[in-house]
Amino acid sequence: MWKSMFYKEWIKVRLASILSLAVGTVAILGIYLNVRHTFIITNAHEFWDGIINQRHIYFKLFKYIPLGIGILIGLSQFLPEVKDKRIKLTLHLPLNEEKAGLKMVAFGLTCLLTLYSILSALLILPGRYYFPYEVVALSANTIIPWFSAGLAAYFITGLITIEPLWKYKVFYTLLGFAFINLFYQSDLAGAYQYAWLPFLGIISLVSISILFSIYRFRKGEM
Amino acid sequence: MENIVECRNLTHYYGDKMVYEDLNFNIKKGSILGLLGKNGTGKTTTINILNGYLTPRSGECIILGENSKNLSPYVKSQIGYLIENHVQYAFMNIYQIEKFYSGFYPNWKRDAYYDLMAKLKVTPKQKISTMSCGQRSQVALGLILAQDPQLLVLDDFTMGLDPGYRRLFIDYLRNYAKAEGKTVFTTSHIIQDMERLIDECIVFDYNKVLVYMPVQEFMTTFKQFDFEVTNPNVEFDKGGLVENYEKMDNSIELFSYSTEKEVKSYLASQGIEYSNFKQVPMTLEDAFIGLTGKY
Amino acid sequence: MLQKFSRYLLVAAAIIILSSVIPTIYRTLFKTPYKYESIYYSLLKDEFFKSRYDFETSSSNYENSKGEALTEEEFHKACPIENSYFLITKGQFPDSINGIKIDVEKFRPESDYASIRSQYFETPSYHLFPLMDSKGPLTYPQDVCRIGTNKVEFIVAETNKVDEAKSDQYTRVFDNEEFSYPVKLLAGIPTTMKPYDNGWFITDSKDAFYHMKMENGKPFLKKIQTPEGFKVKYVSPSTIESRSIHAYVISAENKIYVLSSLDYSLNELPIYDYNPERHHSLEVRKNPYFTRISFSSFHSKKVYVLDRNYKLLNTFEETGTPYAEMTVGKAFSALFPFHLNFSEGHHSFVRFVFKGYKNISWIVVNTLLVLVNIFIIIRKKSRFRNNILDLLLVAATGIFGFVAVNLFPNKEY
Repeated sequence: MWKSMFYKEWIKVRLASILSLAVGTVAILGIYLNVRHTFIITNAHEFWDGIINQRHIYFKLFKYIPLGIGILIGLSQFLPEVKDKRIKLTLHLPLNEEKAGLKMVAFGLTCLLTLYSILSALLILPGRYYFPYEVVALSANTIIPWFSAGLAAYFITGLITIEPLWKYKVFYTLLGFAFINLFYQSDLAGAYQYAWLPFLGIISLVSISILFSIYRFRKGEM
Repeated sequence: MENIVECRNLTHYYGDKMVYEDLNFNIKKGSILGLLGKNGTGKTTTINILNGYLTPRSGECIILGENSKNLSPYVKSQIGYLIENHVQYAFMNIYQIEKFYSGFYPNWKRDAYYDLMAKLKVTPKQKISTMSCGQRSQVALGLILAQDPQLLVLDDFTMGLDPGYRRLFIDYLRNYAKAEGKTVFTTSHIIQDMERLIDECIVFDYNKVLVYMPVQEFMTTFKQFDFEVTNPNVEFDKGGLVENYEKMDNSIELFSYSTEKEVKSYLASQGIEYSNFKQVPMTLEDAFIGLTGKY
Repeated sequence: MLQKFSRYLLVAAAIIILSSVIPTIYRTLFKTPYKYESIYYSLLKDEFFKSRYDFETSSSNYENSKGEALTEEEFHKACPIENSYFLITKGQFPDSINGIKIDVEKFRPESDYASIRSQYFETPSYHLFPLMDSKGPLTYPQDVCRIGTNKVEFIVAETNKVDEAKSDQYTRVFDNEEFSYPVKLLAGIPTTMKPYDNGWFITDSKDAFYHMKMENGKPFLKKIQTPEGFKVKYVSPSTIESRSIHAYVISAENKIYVLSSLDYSLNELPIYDYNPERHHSLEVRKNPYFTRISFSSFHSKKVYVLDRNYKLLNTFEETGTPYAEMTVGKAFSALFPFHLNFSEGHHSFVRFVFKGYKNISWIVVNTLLVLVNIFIIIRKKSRFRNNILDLLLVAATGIFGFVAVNLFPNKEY
């Protein structure tokens, strides 16, 4: 059953996943082409100065990409379920409704984490070629809230999409917006190094929100 | 005979608007029950309660021994469910959707599905979303046949089907149900051809059940009488002998469970003058409209 | 059961998020007026003067310590040293003040300004820095310095490789001075936009204080003698033209020192109530005749004036109403039992800072919200038993809990 469930989820998200990977990779390629270009036309040490002393984040272009990916994966997974109330089909499958919902989220999360792992490795590791490890380490620290925002956005997209009533969809969107905003409070590289763990804690609070949405649907909120 | 479904004292409201109160019905094993009613009379509400997508204000539905509020995976595997408009995972093609569903049902009858698909003029790679409504209905039906459930729940399956597909669907379904001893619960607001399918019928009107009996019994006891009256302002009291009537100038269509003789004596007792009195043969659709009215 | 649990998780998340969002909205709507006020010291009159900028009329108002209004000209004349720029251009600068002969030529080289913001006391850092040649032309180096776990390294930007020879040279000097790796604090001015380079001030893992430089390509490391138990919290290097001062140093005990470049002596200033956690900005303004040090918190301002030998000349103190005693502040603590902040004035990290439950003024609003919620429960004909936790949450977290439990309805079916 896991296999069948994942098969359906994969059919839904594969296009979005490939697209996300493509967009992320192109952005990373652009970032490093720009670094290379700057190293060639100006001086390497000036670029370093920009990063180390003037707090320039050379991969700022990537800032909202994980967020976009989180929303995209969420929409591609949950919109087809609510279109024509297809979620009825999913809930009618011969397995516990809660398990069915959690399996969907588990798949989406796996998919998202895989994408994030690949992209963060592609984004951070080539930096070692151009910069000392301190820069690479703090850069890795800098992207954590961006990816966390994507993760939060994925769960909240699920909550908003499956919620049957428009009124609550609007409320949850506002709350989600406020939540996501918290991940972009500081532009300083490494500013979140003491905060990302509690933020992951809040994200885990919304991670099983699908159970609440499914419950509302099953009880006839339409 | 054993009941597959027993619904007791179902009462539901949307806000303050009553859908129905104290609805009771059973579905016997191997029978085909049709729930007929105009749009908005509570057909889909009943289906939603039956499948556990809606908890009624009061009352309960017992399906294969379980309360529909909490159906176990086993019981769900024994219910084939066709959603209104033949909704399926339209982002899949017919190959993918079979592969998907087959993983859930141990007794999956792959051939039943592909036999039906072979009759459609579609390619295995064609997405369901690009198919016609008729073709989609066959995909949905094929999946239910492959699932091989004890009970088939079909929500308004005739909607959007052209006459050919409607006939095809109905005949295929009836043959299958009768041959395999399946129980069917179907709703419809299109009554045409329905008598080819169903054994028993429930007719819903807003807030109430008008009929709950075998179709055969309904068709033989419910009658239409046409006649002309001299006084065009004549009115009949509904509820007694007269179930319903339609008036066009001097022509009256009167619907009743009573015999011709009883109706004639009723008219005489009311002092109504009439001519050209005759009983008119009805289809189920005629009877449905006669009973529920045109509006 | 699990769905109930998932609802409470959502409610908890909403309470946390709302406890940051709602107070932020409140503070944006009800801003407290900010006074743009500067305090000047008059050596001539040994008196403090105020200058206030009025944004509406785009003009400055001046007053003396008695609160009497002054014209701009009167103000300039009353505080000749702090307004030397205006007076010298007009040719009105006095030759002497209180018998002290004033040498205009000395002004520039002996003047200094430092703005010390608590925000930079703790800030994310790469722990890499450019070491310029203090004796050479002021240019940006091709490499950056790292004081690692057991050696000093210079990494050349062009190749991203360590310059082994230079690194060894410095490591030897560090070893000779018994530097204890790794480095704790790095303070320098990593830009060429300064009059001269004076290297970096660093502390080691045992809190020993050093001055590190490169002079004509050669390493220089000087251990600075500090009092017993002295720990450096922050160093603000000086760029005074006369080069008489190395840096202003804040100790772990929040004492302020001037590090003299004459003999590396640390001169403690007679200021004992500076607290960077409250006073988010400290300003040092030095001229040849006195040093004015001011710091302020939300509602108070303190100014110290020290003479050339850092002896106290005069102090000024102004205290306004604290936020908690203002109407907006009182309403704030009545409306919100607690609130969540992500930033504080004394570091530049994002952190979770929960503040609240300091008094019980929120109890009225919380009780009211509990009653409203009870009313909602009755109107929806829900059972109390299922809503006890909701009511407790509203009672404890007030408006945040009230919004949260109603945002995720606890419906019964």
